[in-house]
Amino acid sequence: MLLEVSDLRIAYGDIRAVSGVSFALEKGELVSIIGANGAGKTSILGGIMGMVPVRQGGIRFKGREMNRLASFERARAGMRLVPERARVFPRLSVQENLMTGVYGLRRKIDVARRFAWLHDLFPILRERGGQPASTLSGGEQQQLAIARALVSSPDLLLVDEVSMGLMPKLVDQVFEVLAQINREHGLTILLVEQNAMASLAISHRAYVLETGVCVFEGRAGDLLKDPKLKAAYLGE
Amino acid sequence: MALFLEQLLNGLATGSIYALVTLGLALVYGIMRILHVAHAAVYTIGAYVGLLFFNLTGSLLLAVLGSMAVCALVGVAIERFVYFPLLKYPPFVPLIASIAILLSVEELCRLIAGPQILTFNAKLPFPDFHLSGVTVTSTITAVYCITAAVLLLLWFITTKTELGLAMRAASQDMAVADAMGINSHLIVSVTFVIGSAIAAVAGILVGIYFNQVYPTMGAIPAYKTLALIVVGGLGSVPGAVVASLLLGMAETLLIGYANIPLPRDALAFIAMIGVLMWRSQGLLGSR
Repeated sequence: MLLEVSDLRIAYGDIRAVSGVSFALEKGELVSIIGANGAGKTSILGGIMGMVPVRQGGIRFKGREMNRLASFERARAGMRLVPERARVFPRLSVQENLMTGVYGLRRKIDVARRFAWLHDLFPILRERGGQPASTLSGGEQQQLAIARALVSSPDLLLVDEVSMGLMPKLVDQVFEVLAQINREHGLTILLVEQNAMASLAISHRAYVLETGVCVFEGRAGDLLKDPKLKAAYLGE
Repeated sequence: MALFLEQLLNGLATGSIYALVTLGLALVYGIMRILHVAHAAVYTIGAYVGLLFFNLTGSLLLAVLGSMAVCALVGVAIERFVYFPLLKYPPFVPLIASIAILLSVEELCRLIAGPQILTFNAKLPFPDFHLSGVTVTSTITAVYCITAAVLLLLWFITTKTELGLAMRAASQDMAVADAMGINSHLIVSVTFVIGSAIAAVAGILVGIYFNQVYPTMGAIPAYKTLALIVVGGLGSVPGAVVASLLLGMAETLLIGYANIPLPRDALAFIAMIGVLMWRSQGLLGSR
C-alpha cells in the first residue's frame, strides 16, 4: 500500500469534521473520495498533508508513519497537494510558482525535462511564464496548481476539488489530463470531489463520504452503473 | 543652491538610515503579519554591541560583524520565544508583547550601560567629496554606500536565490508553501536573521552619524518605521524603502531648509494620515 489512512478523526474545536475514516491507496491507483460540501473531504486531505491537526488515527505513506511529520517533511517524502481553489502564489510569476514545486530538489531532479513535459501538458503555462499568477483565469490557475504539484515527480498526488468554479468544458479537460498522467506515468492520485460524475468516470475506486463518515467503498464503475447505488449515494 | 543640494544629500542619508531600519519591519510584516515594534530594540542593541566591540577591538569591521551576529540571535530569539507562541492569538497580542520587549530592552540598556549618552568615535573608511561647493562627508558617503550595498544584496537574495523564492512564497501563503516542501518556520527565522542583521548595521551607522548611543535611541524609530511601512504599503519592501527615502528628504528639506514650523517627527505621521485617507494600500502596496 502506498497510502494507508486508518480511523482518521479531525475536529475543529467542538465541530467534528471527520469521524473515523479509513481507506488505502495501492500504487498506480486513481481513487476518488466524493461527498457533498461539508462532508469532510478537504479536511481529510489537510490531515494527510499535515495542514490540519489530526485528533486520532494513523497515516502511513510508503510504509512510513506520517503523523508526527510537519507538512513540509511529508511533501519531501513524496506527496504533493493541488489545493482547493488552486491557491497559487498570486504575486509570484507562473514560472516562479512552478519553481516552488521543486524547492530543495533542484539538484536531484532534471528540472529542465520536467518543465518541458509540463509545458507540453499545459501550454498556457509556457505562454504566461513571466506573468504574475494572479493575472491567470481560474482554469489557468488550476492548471498551474496541478503543474506545481507535479514538477517534483511525486509518488502521490492529492487533488482537492479541482472542478470547483471551472466551466464544464474545462472540468473535462482537467480530469482528462489527470487520467492521462495516471495511465501513462502510473502516478497514484487521490481525488476529493463534489463533482461525483466527472471524478468517478476516471477513477478506479471510490469512497463516498457523508458528514465525516464513509458510507460506501467500492469500484467507481459499480457506483456509476448500479441504479440502486447511484440513487443512494449520488442522489439520482 | 549649494545649501539646497547639501540639505538634499543630508536628507537622502537620513532616508537611507530610515530605510535600513524599516526594511526589517517590512520583511517581518510581510511574512508574519506582525507589527514588529521590537525591531527598534534590536537596532538599539545593535548600536550598543557595535560600540562595545569597537571599544574592545578597535576594529570597526569586527564591531559590525559582531553586532550583526548578536542582533541576528536576538531577532531569532524574539521570533521563536515570543511571536511564534503568540501567533494563535489576535494580532494585537504579539504587538503588545513587542512593545513590552522594546521597553524592557531600553531599561536593560539603561541598567547595563547607564542612562547617559555614549559617544561612538569611529571614522568610517570612506572618502569625503567636494563638488562645486558641496561637501559630502565621509559618514554620508558611508551611509550611501552601505545602504546601496544592503539593498542590492537583499534584492539579489529575494529575487535570484531559492531562499528568496521561499521567502516570497511563504509570505504569500505559508500553509501552501509548507505543502510544497518549504520549511516555512525556518524561512521565517531566516527573515528575522536578515532583518535584525540589517538593523545592527543601521544602529551602528546612526551611532557614528550622530556620535550618540543611548538607551531610548529606538523610541522614535519604533513609531516612525511603523508609519513608514504603512506609507510604503504594508509588507512591501520596495514601498518601505521608497517611503523612507522620501521621508528623509522631506523632513530635511521642509523643516531644515524651508523652515516649516512643525516638529520634524510630525511629518511621518502627516504622511501616514494622508496615505490612510487617499491611498490606504500605501505607495507600492497591493490591496
